[in-house]
Amino acid sequence: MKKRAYLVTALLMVGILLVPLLGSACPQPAEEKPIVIGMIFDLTGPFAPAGISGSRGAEIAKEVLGTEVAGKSVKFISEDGATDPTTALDKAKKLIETDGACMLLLPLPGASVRAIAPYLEQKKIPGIKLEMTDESVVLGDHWVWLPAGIQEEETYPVGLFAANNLGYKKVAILAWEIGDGPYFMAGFKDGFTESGGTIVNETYYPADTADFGPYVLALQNLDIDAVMGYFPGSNAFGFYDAKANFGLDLPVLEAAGEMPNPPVQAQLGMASVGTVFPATYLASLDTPGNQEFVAAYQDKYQETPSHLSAGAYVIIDIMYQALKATGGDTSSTALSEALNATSVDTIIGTLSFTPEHVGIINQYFYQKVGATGDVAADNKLLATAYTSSEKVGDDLKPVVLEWK
Amino acid sequence: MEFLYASLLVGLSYGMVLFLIAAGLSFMLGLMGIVNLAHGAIFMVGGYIGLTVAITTGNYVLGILAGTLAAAIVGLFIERATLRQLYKQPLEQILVTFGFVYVITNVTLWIWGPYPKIGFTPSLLDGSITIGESSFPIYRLAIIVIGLAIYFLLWWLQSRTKIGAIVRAGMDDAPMTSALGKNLSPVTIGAFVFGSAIAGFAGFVGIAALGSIDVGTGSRIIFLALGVCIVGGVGSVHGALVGALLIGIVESLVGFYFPEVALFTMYVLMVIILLFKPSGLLGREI
Repeated sequence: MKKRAYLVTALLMVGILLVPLLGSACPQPAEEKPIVIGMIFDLTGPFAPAGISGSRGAEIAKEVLGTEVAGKSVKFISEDGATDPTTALDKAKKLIETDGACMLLLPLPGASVRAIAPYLEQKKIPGIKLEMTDESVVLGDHWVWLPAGIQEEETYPVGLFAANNLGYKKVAILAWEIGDGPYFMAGFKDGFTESGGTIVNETYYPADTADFGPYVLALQNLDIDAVMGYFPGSNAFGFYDAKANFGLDLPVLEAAGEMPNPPVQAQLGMASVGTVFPATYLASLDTPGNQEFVAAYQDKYQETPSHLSAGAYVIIDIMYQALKATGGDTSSTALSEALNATSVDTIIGTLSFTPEHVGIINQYFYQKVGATGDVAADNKLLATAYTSSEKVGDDLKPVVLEWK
Repeated sequence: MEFLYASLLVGLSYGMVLFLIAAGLSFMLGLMGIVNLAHGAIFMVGGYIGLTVAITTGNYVLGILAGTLAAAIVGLFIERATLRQLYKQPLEQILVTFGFVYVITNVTLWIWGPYPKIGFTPSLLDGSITIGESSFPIYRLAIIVIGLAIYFLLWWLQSRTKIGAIVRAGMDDAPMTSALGKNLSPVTIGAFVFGSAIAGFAGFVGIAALGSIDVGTGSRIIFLALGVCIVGGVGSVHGALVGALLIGIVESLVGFYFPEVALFTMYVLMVIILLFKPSGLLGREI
């Protein structure tokens, strides 16, 4: 009796083990794995306004450009970088090792990208960064591409423009100390001092600054013509509110920051009127596909897309062009070669890369916030600079090719 | 010299905002033994609701009332739904209230969206006055007055009323207080709701001084509030005020004269206090 029970149990177990084999023996259509693209946006932390704006641009890219390329379906997986380099690196590892991403859309904070870059080198996975960052991530054995250029390319012309066109002689710097501030300011300082200007004071405020009162008070104490600042994310609100409340009546020049983000500028309202800021994108650009992008964006989000929304859209466009060029081959070498050979008409213009993976020609639109503080309505375009970066020794140096 | 006075005044006003933020937390932690990490999120609820009402109606006082009431309701929900089961269980309290930070943050993201919102300043308190060669916002002067008023109110409630005496007695020896015929349950609920209401009040009043509110505010504010509690000590209104003013003034002076070390100021103060007086400058032993 006992023997029989053992026999029945053994047969049952064999049967259970065979079921999946029988299933697989049935003819099934082979399912091709989708191409996975990983995206890191900062949806929380001080850069959340920027991250959300970028993620919205990516959503529109999926709708307008589709989710199929080179005959294969594309799966997008998005993670929150939390404005924190450690978190961003963890998310990059997860996207590559667990999700199998073949390319990454890298987040806005330079510190996060500097944390991820060595890992991308190790894994040989291409990463394309939203907006610009410093040259360290594109020198050496690098796997980061910068379609919007290096940070100094954006601020070097601001320095030239401030001294030569706006007539400022003495400027104080107030910038976020984490990662990007000093790099943005280096470009400005070069341009401003080359044109005869003087940097009177340089202050880098810490992350999570809750009260800008002391910094605005210090600016009141200085004999200066203007303030050059970098106020990303929620810092813009702290600074401009304190500036208005303390009655600081000085012109402000900005590097990147929140000004080109229409909903943020609308929130800031009158506090930011008069600020001169650069942007890598204008919603009014007459470039292929731009009006389609703007219409789709406005339809979905009822707001004008920012440079970050456009930046994310452009990055996905570049990734698609690279995948088309490889015929859907997602190997590191094929993708790297395809990205290096990229020459694509995007919504911000024709884009291709230098051997250092930096956009060959970058355009920066310098604007002044109009009287109503509404970016779409009355921001005044002061000038457009077309720049490039030249390799001088071991460094990349910004060059202004043309002013318009 | 005028700039020194002006920067002291900036520090004083910032310290008063910190006091408003931390007073409720210190009260809950010191007198009730509740570690409420959702305090910053409750502050945020008060800020958002108050701001919405103030912008809609154009009335600052209605904004204060709405923010305070909303925070009190959220506090009541947290206490009744979870914390009443977890008294004297600090680890569980930390986990549960930390969970509420995520819930509240995501709900605020749904309702108010991702972009920061600038605080509401009534026209009466708008503008600035001149002190020497510096301008100083009138609203910040008002914050100093409001902070002092709240300080005296809390001190009076805690030290001069029967309810305050019951709360303190209940924290020191709950069985004995109950044996004396005092029903501690409504007092405990009321105290928690009151602490939350102060957070909501601070959320609306404070953001107008500090600039803006966004969905990350709750997570950032809780660190400031805990810093004040560590420096000043918990369970004492005087401790919360002294800790907040010390941090506010030192941070402002450092931000003005040595901005490169401003990031560490509060933490250095916390380390020094923890080394030499672990219960804080004026705190109760817990």
